[in-house]
Amino acid sequence: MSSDRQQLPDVFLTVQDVSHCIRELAEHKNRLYSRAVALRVGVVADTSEPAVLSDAAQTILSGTRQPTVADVEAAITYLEKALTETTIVKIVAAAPLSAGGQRSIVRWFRSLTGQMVLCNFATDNMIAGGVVVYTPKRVFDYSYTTQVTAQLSVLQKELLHG
Amino acid sequence: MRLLLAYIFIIIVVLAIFIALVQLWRAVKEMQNTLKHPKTPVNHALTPEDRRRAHEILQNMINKEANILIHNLEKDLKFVSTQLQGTLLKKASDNINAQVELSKQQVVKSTTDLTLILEKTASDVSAQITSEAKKQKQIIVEDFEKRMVQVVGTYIVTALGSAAAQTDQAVEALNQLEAHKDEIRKDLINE
Repeated sequence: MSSDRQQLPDVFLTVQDVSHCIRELAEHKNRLYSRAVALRVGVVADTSEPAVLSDAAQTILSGTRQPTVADVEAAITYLEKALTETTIVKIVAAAPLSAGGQRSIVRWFRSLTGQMVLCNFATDNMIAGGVVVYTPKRVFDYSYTTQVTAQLSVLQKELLHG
Repeated sequence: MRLLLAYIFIIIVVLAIFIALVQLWRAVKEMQNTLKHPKTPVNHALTPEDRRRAHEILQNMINKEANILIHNLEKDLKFVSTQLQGTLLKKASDNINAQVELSKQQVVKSTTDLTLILEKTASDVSAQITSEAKKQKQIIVEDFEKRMVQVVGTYIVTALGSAAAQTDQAVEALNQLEAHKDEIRKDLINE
């Protein structure tokens, strides 16, 4: 977790995954902090069930058997930094992509660039099919609608001039 | 006797001297009078007939000279009048010609200006109409394209219907990404 450019485990596919994990870790940190304070001041011990962390949170905290507040804070900082340094690509499809499909696409981007890439997935049925890719600099529109309307001039000629 | 004769002789001489003196006195008086009131010897000597004839001759001479003078005067007057008329006419003609030329230039200038204005107006109107026509055409084409995009998009979505949702879009998306991977990689790596 201490490389110059933050690398995220494969379990993180989207920006929402990272954001969700950061929120989860923040809540967990608060719980740990409250428990530590209670233990320090001798308050009745918390009898509630221990929090069950998601796979992503567990992955990011892996290696620390009993994570402390500092460990969780370090994980949050790591994720926040990774979020700012990671290339984010928005993918728009005509229908919601399956989890497996999303994973395949993220892995495809990561293998293509050799970099950590996070995707934001969205749907727009007006594109009819195909995909629209929003990179930080450009938009690659491979939707059916655009491909069809790109040929609209031919259709216009046919309609106007027979 | 001799004395008597002497006396008579003396008396005669004195008488002669007296007469001579009287004649001399009269001559002097006449001379003085002449100097005061000179009279030509001719006039003095002319008779009324001579005077009449002389007057007639003189009248004729005067009439003749007068006629010549009048004739010359008339001739000169005619010449001067002709010259003056010519000069005045020429001046008037020049003025008229100048005015006509000025008017002609003004008319030409006005016509040229009017022509330019008309040409410019026509050009402006033509350009405006052309521009307006282009705008209208562009609007119509854009509306047509929008309508066509909507129609085609709606048609495709309707035609595909739930098929799009049921089809694994990830496969299609990956196919599209794979087909364009070079430009995507170029864009992302150069980031």
